[in-house]
Amino acid sequence: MADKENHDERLERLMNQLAESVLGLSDEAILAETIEAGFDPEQEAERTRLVLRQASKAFDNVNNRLSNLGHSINPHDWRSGQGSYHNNCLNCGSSVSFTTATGEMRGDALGGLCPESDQYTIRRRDPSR
Amino acid sequence: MSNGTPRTPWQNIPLLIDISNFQLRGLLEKMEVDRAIEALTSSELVRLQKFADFRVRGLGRAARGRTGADLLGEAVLRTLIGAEDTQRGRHWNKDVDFELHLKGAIRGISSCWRRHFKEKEAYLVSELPIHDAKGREQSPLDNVPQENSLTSSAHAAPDELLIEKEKEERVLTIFKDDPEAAQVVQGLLDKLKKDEIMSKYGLGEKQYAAAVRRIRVKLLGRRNGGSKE
Repeated sequence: MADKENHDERLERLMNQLAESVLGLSDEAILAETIEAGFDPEQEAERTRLVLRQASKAFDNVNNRLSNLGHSINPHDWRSGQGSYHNNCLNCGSSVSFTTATGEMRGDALGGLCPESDQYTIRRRDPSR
Repeated sequence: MSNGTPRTPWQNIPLLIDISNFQLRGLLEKMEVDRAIEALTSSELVRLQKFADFRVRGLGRAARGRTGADLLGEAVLRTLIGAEDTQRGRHWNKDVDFELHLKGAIRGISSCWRRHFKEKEAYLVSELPIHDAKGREQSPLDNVPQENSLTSSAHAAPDELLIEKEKEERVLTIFKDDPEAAQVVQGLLDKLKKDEIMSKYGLGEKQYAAAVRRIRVKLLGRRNGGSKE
């Protein structure tokens, strides 16, 4: 069978079946398995929550930063590639990217105000003033 | 304003919000997503993490170094993109609980990564210019046997096929001291259904469930790369 079928596909099927089997586990069973595998379930759970939070925060941060600089992006045009997400300002075309894991932002768009923006930007006052 | 002149009504407006209904909906949905993340229980979070880890492991080379955490992050991101538009991203239908929604997103995204990997591989092979001894350009697919040329293995070089074969053998080796687990692994690799595996190897329901449990624990255990610490 392995001659005709790609080993990659066989392994994928095995892992996907195991993934699906996880979904049928009760709360107690999944926590017990985690302990048996050598992990602290609470620590594992909080680490996972952090991953989810970071993704949400990274998305928020990049959108706020772009908005403050007067850039306008299509929120549906984020493209993923090589661990980061890329987009371009609809007005000036400058690029921006960010990673969900670290929240790191890069790109020309972050370098300054959008030169093509006709938006009247109200900036927040510096609390020290 | 410090000269004591009374303020006109418009000067008392502290903030002008220039936001469309479209953006407002996105913001509100983001708040709901954030709230749903905080409401996930420990068992739900661990289940999601294991589900994502197995899905990424199943991708093999197609994972391109991405982890289960990357898959979880992408699921949230796609949900936020879909929050503003039901046609794009992964729209969260609030009739479905958030854990179930994320599972669907994880499943869809990992399948998408696999599909893109296959497309990319095909593209790269077709782009490779090779020349014969006389300098004539040839397609790298010219020498691929016909029976393999339309399968995904057509895009894997012989050394890659060997690596894939070794990976499969490595998984079986992990269970060399656990015959029932090895039988279940072999059965799943061979596309057998649960009943077929139980019938073929004479396993009862409890034996099968226990074997699957041992496989999960071992594959995601510390010794086999389950820890990302």
